[in-house]
Amino acid sequence: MASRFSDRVGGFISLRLRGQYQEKIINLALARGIYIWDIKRDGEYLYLKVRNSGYEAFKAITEEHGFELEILKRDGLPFYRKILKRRIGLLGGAILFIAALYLVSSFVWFVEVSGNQKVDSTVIIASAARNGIYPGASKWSLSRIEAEEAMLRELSELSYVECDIKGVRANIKVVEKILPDTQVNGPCDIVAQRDGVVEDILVLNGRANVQKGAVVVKGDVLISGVFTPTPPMEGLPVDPNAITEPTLVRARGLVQARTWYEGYGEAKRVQEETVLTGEKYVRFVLKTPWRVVDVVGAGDVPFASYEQLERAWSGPGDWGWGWSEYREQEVKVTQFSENEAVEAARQNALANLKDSMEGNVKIMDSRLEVLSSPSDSIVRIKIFVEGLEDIGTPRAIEASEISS
Amino acid sequence: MDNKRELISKAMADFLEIPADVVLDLPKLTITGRNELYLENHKGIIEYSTSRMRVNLSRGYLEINGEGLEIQALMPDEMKVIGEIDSIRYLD
Repeated sequence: MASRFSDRVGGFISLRLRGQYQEKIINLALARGIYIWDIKRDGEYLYLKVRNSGYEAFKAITEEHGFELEILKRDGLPFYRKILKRRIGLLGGAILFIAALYLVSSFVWFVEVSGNQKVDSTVIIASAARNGIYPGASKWSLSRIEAEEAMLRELSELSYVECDIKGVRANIKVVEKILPDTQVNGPCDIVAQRDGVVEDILVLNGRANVQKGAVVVKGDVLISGVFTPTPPMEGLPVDPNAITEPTLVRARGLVQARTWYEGYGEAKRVQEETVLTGEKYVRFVLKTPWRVVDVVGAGDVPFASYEQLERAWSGPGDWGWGWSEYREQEVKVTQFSENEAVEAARQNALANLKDSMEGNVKIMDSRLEVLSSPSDSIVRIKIFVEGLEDIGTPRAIEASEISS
Repeated sequence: MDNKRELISKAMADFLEIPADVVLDLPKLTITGRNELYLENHKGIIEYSTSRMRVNLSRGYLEINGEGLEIQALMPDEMKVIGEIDSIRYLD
């Protein structure tokens, strides 16, 4: 069975046939391989459909046998062509639209960076631009893999770059290298980088200079890199090969110490916040050279306090339009109890403090002191935090230290 | 002669279990409900009107009686008839 779709593509003609012994025509058409369908008799007429390609042959048969043939309707794609010819502008516009859409979507318009913490986004974007990924770059000319590799070569701080181009958006995912701490090469001591009380000491190399419970201040040597061999015990024979001079080593180890931090935080007892009530008032006006016509909304704004959104257009002459939306606002007052305010201030202070803490500090204990009086509208607090952290940091041994 | 060949063909078809419509050019009818008839291996139309239709077969003809009969598709050896079918009869 022929498909309706192919009939439509090729085009078909609805016909009306008049004459005697119409079956003969049907059989002749059949014998000559002319495909006909939807054959229906109505009185002396026979209605049928024939493909565009078989029409001439069918017409020849009917003329040969003296039948009357009438075209009722032409249908299908070839006949739409005439309609399309009349509406060439529409067709051209549609094609132009699709072409423009295709053209515009084959460029990268947005470049985004994600995954970076220390490396500035602008540096990554600049590097991507040098390697072909920038707003306005054509997608067909850029090679993703080449750009990724070039960016990795350019930015030594990165260990991985992936350019994911989705539509007009290029998302550059990066993973930064975790660089080892600035290393001290050669002999060194481990010194305290801040004040504290030593809680635990683990020496991997060198000699412990402090013990558990010792109070240290910034700069104190915790693990010494100057290694003095113990003198041989009296009475024992002296080994002539024994090293008697102090040797220098690269001290290594962990020194956990209790440290103290002090922070400050504050919170308001009464908080005023402007919120939208959800009520709206819209006004739309048309500007003509003669007068301004209110289309939607006239008169004064029915709100005491509001936020205004405006959009307007002015065309040639005095023509134009203006649109404004007014959103009602109200002031929401939230009253906090003293405890709530203190807690908020404490969180605030802790958050501030955490920013200033370097490395991995474990908070062991915290204590706070309220500075403000209960009648103040702002609660101010001071927070004291006790932390546990590794306070050791390597410091190269200077020449003067060796001589002493 | 023809009769003899037909007999041999029939015997062969039976023996080899080949469908008879393929070997003997017999008509094959598929009727869906009473509104749709699909006929394969026809040999042309003898008579067509909305109430009666006669279709030539390799042997004899087929008469379809009904109302509003319409040939929805017509091809050299198959056809589809739609309409309210009352009876189908084989005639010689």
